[in-house]
Amino acid sequence: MAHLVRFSTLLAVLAIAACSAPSAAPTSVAKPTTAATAASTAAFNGNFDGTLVFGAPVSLTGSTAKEGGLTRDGYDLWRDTYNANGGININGKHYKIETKYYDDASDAQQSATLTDKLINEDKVNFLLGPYGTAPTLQDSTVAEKNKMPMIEGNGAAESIFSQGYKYTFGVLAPAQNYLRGVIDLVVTLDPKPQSVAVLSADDPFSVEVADAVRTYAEQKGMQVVYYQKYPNASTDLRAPLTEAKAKNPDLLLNSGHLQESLAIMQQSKELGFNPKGFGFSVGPGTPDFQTTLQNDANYVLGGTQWTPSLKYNGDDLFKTPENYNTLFKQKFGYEPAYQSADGTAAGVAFVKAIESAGSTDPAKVRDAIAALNFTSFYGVIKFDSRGINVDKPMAVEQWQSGRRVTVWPADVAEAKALWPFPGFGSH
Amino acid sequence: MNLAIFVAGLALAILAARPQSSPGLRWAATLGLLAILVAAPALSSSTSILFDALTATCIAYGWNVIGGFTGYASFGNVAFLGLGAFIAGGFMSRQPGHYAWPWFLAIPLAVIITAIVAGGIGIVVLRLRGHYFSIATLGVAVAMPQVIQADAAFGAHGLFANFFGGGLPLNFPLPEDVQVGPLTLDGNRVFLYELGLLTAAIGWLLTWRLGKSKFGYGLIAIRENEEAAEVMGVDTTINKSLAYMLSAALAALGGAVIGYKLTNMTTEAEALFSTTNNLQMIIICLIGGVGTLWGPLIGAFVLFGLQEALRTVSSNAEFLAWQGVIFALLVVLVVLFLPRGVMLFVMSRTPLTWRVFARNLVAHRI
Amino acid sequence: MNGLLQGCILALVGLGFSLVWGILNIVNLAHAALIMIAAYLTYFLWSLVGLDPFVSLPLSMAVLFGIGYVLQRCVINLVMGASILTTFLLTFGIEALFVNLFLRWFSADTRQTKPIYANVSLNLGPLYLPYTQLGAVIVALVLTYLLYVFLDRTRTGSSIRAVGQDRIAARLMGINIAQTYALTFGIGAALAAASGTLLSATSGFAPNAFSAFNVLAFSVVVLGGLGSIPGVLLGGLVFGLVYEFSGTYVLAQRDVVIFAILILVLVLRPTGLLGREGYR
Repeated sequence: MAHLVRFSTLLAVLAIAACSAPSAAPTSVAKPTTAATAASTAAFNGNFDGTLVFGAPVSLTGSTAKEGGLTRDGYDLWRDTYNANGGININGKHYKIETKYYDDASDAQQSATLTDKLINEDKVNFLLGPYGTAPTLQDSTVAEKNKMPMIEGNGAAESIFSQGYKYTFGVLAPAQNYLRGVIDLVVTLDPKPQSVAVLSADDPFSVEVADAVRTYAEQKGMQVVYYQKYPNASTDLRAPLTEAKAKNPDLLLNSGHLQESLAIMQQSKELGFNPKGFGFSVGPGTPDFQTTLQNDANYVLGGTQWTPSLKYNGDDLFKTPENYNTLFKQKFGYEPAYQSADGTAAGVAFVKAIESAGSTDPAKVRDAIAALNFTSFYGVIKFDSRGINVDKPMAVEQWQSGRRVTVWPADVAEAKALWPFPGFGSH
Repeated sequence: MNLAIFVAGLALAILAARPQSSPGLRWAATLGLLAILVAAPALSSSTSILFDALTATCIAYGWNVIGGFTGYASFGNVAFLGLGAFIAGGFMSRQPGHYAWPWFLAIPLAVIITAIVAGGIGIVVLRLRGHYFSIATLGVAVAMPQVIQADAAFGAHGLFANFFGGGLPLNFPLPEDVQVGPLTLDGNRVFLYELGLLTAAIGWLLTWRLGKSKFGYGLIAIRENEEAAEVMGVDTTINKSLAYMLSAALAALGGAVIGYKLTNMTTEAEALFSTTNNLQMIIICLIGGVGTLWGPLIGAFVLFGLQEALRTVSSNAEFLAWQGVIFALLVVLVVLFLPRGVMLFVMSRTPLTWRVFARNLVAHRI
Repeated sequence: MNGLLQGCILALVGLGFSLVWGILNIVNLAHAALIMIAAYLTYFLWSLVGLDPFVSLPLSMAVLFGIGYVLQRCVINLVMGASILTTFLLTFGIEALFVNLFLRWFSADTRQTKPIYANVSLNLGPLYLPYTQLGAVIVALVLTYLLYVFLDRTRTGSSIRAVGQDRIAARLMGINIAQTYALTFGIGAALAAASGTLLSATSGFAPNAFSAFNVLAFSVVVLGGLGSIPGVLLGGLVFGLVYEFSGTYVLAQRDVVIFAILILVLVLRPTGLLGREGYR
């Protein structure tokens, strides 16, 4: 047994050594915000009657580390803003919001295991979603088996919501809508594009987006001259781009990920491929897009769940997208990407549902979530019978002179869309 | 509680593995270990992590056959893990166009089909040795998800139309709760967990029989010196193929059960076919002791136990982000300081001192 | 045409990989990590000091040479006598360690060195030849030639080849094995640095962007033949073409095609197209 003792010492030493890694900024309650429009209730004086724990597996390492971090920041802002204003108010009692995160390393299997751990070991009250379709898919199953409500903002694929599950809700617009906004926009522009080429990554989410936009484009009278799927995470897309170029499309659409959107722009420039416009489902929404491409990012259109310049007047503590933008920047020092807004919106929906149910009972809260119908800083939040927020429109942004500008829907557009693309190197 | 089970399991496994233990003690330790694991749902509120560890054990036992006993380090068994899961899913799924067969029919069938596929692949890759074999198997692992997505065979208009989901996720049916007399055993927590335990037990049993059989000795002979083995009458081609097929079968078994638990399957790189899964089986065998009976089990318990310990100690978000680095560091340290794994201390009378590690470090220095 | 340009870069990646493999008999999975370090180094030199990547190339090569030398001498050397699985796993662990460390320090943000000519192409009729790639081709060819001359004509080069052919005989001839190994690894790392510098300009990158190059480098070397420098070049070009033409018919199964080629070569002609004993 001696070596067992020594072995345990070894384990302990390793654990302690690992602990001495620098700790994060304290996750204490944020100071009440003074800038911009304040929340409707007065700043809270700090006596809570209880806590509610919200668990979430988020990818802090691995391939979606960046987006997972953005999601977590969105959750943190929600937690701190609401806590500073009395937390969740259930029948007059104030409950403090606490979050518990585990890193699922961008691995769907790990995410499922960690969700199970959060539910059964850590005994969290409710679940917030992870980042990405694959983990959300797996986690939704665990949530369903355990009858624990989960609201997520970063998994949009049809497959998540076509399983007949009752406990998972997505505040974001479904995958099929991702590029619809772009089509809606371009058909109003002059010269109206007649032909479109579609490039898609070969994962269920991207394929869903691509198939949907292909159908929609045809409905709107455009011809789909090229449709090609490439292996997930490819960075060399010169071959399909050369083929697409040969068909001379007016519009190039891509449904994939940030790395691929960058590769497409760079390689299109190399190949001298200059369609009238580029549209991406993922990519232009992140600042990385512009810092990497610089001038070449201009004129590029991107579908997005949310932008700071939309004009919603929300029934929540953030009220308007502009205010959210300010608060976020104050707390984190950078402007929010839509993934963070997705996360915050999920939290906001929970508060509304719990307060309306007047209880923390999972079944009652689940029913309250299903019955939600309100406008928030994020847009309308209303779940259809399958659990997805179908009525929420997708906006379209365009990079203009190094700034991201909302160009669609027309009633909230900050500026007119620039069209057609004059070609690389001439702007 | 899970952590306690890991530690207790480790202790019992080490007791059972030590050559100086009497046969009676060994039997007692083995049965004790089995008892604890069977009873885990009653002891612990969440069996998911134990499930992961046990299915990983089964898959590691599979790798142990080809990598440990035969000495052919396959870096592509994850392909069979995924294939087994997808085939089982294809048969079990209740989605339109699928068969909805029960698990005790679909899973063994998936295992058999995967083994046959591995046999076919083996005809080609087993002609290679050393690095070449390793990288060729790595290629198999990279290619397999793309084969599953091949439109011509499995797409909407293919030969086996949409068998693997046709680009959309393939769904297993949700496991139902099992009625045993007055008890209702929760489908997810108990049934699936025991199924996972069963896979680990099968892996252990097969390895146990392997170690005592002529086939097993033949594999070890191949590992030590393939030409000499051939000369001594061991049919290396057949033996290697069988070993490869066996390793694929165990990987498929583990994979099918994992798939059943996950319920939804896609071919995305982050899911079943991940590099993590691929290398995990190798790391487990390395930590525990390559080519031994208890090695994979010990390795799995150490690895998962360590992860659980780190999670328990601190869920500080900043710390979580260092997990990837710690895992990589662990790999490097084990390779340098403990290449024969924990079994080094168990099998021989090597004391657990710093000097042993230091000696391991420079043992193969130029 | 673009396939050939891409192929030259692949050949450069394969060159360092091939050297380490041929002489030390290590399949160095950390090669991708070395490429990554060089890419970041080039990026920071460009963004903080304004150094053009082609100018900072020699500097990155020198730095990575140092890193590679120390890495081999102090760490990898410890397992040189062990089985190939052990060295394989060690280099894998080192790669994972570096990638995860960089992920921690520099986050998963995408970066790219963007000198003025980045992604701009020379337009000759229907042909579009990106300047960065053209520059990369010249660098690749120059380095390949220099390596060949070094190994063939210089004394150190000969001692490296000797160690690769027969370690024991070389030791008997008075060659310091450990030092020679470290030197070779350092040169391999320097070549990886060259690839990293060039790649940092041709596309955006993040810490995990280069992991795919390990299997590609392996395939290039296998196809071209271990032990032959021109072989690596040939292998790179072939794969560049495969990449270009696989886009037409089998894009979604591109990796299957590469794997199939790899297997075919390994089974039918394991020495590759131009492979031979004793590196030259």
